[in-house]
Amino acid sequence: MRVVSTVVMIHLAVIAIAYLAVVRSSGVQGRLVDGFAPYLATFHLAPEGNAADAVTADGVAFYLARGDGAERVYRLQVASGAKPDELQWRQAAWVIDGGSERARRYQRFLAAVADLGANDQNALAGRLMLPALERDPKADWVRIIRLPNLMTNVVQDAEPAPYTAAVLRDGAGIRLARVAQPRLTSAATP
Amino acid sequence: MKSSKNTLETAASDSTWNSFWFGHWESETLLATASLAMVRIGLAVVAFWYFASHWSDVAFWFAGDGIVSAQALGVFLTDADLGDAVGWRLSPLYWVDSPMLLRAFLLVGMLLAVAMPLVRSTRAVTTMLWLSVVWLANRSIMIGGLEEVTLAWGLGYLVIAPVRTPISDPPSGTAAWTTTLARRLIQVHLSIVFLVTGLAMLSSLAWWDGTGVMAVVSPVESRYFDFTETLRSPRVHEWLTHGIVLGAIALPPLLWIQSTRTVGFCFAVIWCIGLAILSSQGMHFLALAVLSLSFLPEKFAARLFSRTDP
Repeated sequence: MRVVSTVVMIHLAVIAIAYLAVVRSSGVQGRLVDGFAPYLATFHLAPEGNAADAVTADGVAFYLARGDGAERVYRLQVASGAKPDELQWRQAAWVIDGGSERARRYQRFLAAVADLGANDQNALAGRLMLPALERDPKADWVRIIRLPNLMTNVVQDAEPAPYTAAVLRDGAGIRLARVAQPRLTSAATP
Repeated sequence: MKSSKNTLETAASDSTWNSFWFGHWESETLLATASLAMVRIGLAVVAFWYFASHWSDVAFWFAGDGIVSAQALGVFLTDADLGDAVGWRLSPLYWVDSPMLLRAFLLVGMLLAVAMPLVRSTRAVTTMLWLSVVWLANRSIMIGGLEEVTLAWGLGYLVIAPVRTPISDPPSGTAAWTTTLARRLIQVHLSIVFLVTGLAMLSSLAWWDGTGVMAVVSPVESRYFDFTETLRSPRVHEWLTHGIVLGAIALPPLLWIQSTRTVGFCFAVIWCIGLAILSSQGMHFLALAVLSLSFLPEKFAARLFSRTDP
């Protein structure tokens, strides 16, 4: 029983540390969680780092409790032709809305791409978007937008799309070129 | 004398520890067996839902030309230098890119979920179902959520417990202490989840100023229902917000104290179902509600199983 007791104690200590590290982990917590990563990840015992369910607001993550003004719904939009105006963007056919598990997976994926785009990780965001755009030969432009909601303010609503890119097709090949969006200046702040 | 007193204290402490984790009194193991039987049925339903929810889009994500196909994901993780971070998310599904085989895997998962509460002679079905969930969860990099984590640990603890039938037949020997151990692990892990949920809530101002529940329901495009009008009144959403936070923090003590266990159990189920509807994280909160059955009050268990068992 002593061996089992020791295993139980270590297991629960690791679980508690991994869960307590979700809001913002200290260096010690981070090193412990990293050290036990083979155990935690192999058996999928701890929430995924930077998951879309962990909505971030000022760098604070909420893995276990949704409910922050920063939680947004993402939409993937595509457009054809020369530089499109607002009316020409259409929702990508493969993304669905709603609270279903399937819709939630789309949201998590789009949140990951948007997060990369917002952090100027353009090549990585493009890498994730490429397989989706290969399915839509008519798409010349792609962007991910965040929808406003009851809890967002005018500044958040006025933020540019976190990821916008031109689709460059060359025969069978396809590349994405990030289109820089004007960032908010202090003049936009009410 | 001092030495013998210390020995006695250590023995008493050992005994308390052992009876908590490995207790094998008849009444305790019967209650543990009954509550685990309920958890087993509930998690089987959630696991079936989990595999079924992947049916329509598994090829879209994981097939050879999928959005996060093994090849595309590998290139992305290499470019992003994230190989170490996710390298331990092991799964044989990384080697499967045929839509037919992916669907066959889901079908096997659904069949295992149906079989788990029915097959009462071996742990093999529970073990296979647990591994199937873990493999699919580990494969779902960037598209996985909390429900996978909850299902994975819930099923993992169920593997420890033997499958008993009939429930009125008290387990003995190894079966007795593994049954208690599995139930205790679920109870302690669930308490950690409730507590950390409450603490995580407190790190956001929305849960202090009474608007937390509005933040939960406001992204209406990704919710089952639109509750924004229903909850618009400050009196309604502020009380609800405070109740949700209080629930997360108060549930562990309410569930562990014997005299408040019935209240705590009912509150836990209502709290989970309420948040499942409001947040549309149905699978996650339903799994938590099912795992709360590990705290099934004795009188409920007696009432339920005195009717069903011969």
